[in-house]
Amino acid sequence: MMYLLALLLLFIGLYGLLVKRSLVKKILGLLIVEHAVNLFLILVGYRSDGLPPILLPGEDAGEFVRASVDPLPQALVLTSIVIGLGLVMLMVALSLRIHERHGTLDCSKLNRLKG
Amino acid sequence: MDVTIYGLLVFLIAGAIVALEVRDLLSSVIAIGVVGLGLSILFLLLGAPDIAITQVVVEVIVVTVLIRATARISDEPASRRTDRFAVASGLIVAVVLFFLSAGALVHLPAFGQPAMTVSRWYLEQGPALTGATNVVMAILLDFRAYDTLGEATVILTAIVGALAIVRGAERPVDARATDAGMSLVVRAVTRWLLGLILIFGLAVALFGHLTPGGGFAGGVVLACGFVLATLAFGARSPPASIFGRLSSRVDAAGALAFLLIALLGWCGGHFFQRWLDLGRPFRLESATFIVLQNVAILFKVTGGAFAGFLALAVFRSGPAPEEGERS
Repeated sequence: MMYLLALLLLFIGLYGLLVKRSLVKKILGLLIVEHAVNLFLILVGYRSDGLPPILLPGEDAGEFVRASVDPLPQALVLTSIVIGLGLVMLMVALSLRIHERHGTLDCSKLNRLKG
Repeated sequence: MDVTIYGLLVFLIAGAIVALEVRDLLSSVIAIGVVGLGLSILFLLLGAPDIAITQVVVEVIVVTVLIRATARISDEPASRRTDRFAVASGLIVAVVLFFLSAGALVHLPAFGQPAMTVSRWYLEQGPALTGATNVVMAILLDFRAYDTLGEATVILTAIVGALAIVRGAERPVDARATDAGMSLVVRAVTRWLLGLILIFGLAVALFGHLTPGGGFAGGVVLACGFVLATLAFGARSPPASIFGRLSSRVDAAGALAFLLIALLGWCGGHFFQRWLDLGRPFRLESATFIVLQNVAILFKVTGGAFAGFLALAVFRSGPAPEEGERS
């Protein structure tokens, strides 16, 4: 059920990516998809009443392994979030250039070749 | 606990729908910021403080960049005509794919009981083998450092791409818009906060192997501080302009340093071999190798994020060129 809600979020983003005509809305759609995938990975690694995968001084190692949530998805998601930042900058740069050249961000008006 | 998670998930979904359906672009960008902040609270509840810190600071920069970008272009009247065919086909594709992929979920382990086959070994051996008691950092910068190198390359490429696309477009900047900065109140608060933000960023990066954080989160925190300085004092003010000129070099230097640390592993035998001894556990020097990598990533991410922001912030889109002349 938890997973279904994350999946729903992903497909809301996909819907925005497919249907919206403004390029800014498409960027937002892609951001939602990205958020949903990151969230899904963390949800899969969650353990009921789990603790963060950080060993504290004096903590028993066996107890730590039993109580901790899955650290592997976290390590992968951490970099994916920062990659998302780079991607947003790339997409915004492209959209600004498109707006400068064509005066619009509506992609139904952009699909005509000029010349 | 579960109720809170469900509530936040529904909140995220509502925020996402608002972000996509509101007509005003500024409102949708703010809605996406709300989704990102809600997501970071959710990460915190799900036992992922590293991710929560990174998510919250990344969201701050994303929203700032998007607002700077949309403030300039949202004045064009939104077209009222809705394309029924596009909406219908998009909905059908999304709904059909949703039910197809929902069928795959039954093969996953139930929520709250992760499979944890490899991860169990990481949790058992990570602190002893790498010296990093934050197992996420142990995986990120030691066990799976190859992945991190690849991902750092992706970030570098994306920023270089953004800079290359915007380059040459910096026309004489409208002096009043960027140089004036913000009101006296904002400047005074920023003067107090800036040092704290920079120290926090450094601490998050340096102690990433013991506490939540690491080079990625710390780098974005530092970039946030410089973005704040740029917005509050103006792009020509000392902190913004000095670091602005250095930022792409800092980015490149960080990437090279990370690669150098990896290459020095050849001294011990192979790429990314740890070539520094472990120190006493729970101390800064317990994992000097990971601290060095975190500092390299800190430079890389700070430089990259701030260079990207500056390029997009000073980008002035003028009136569209005359079509007649070109054709």
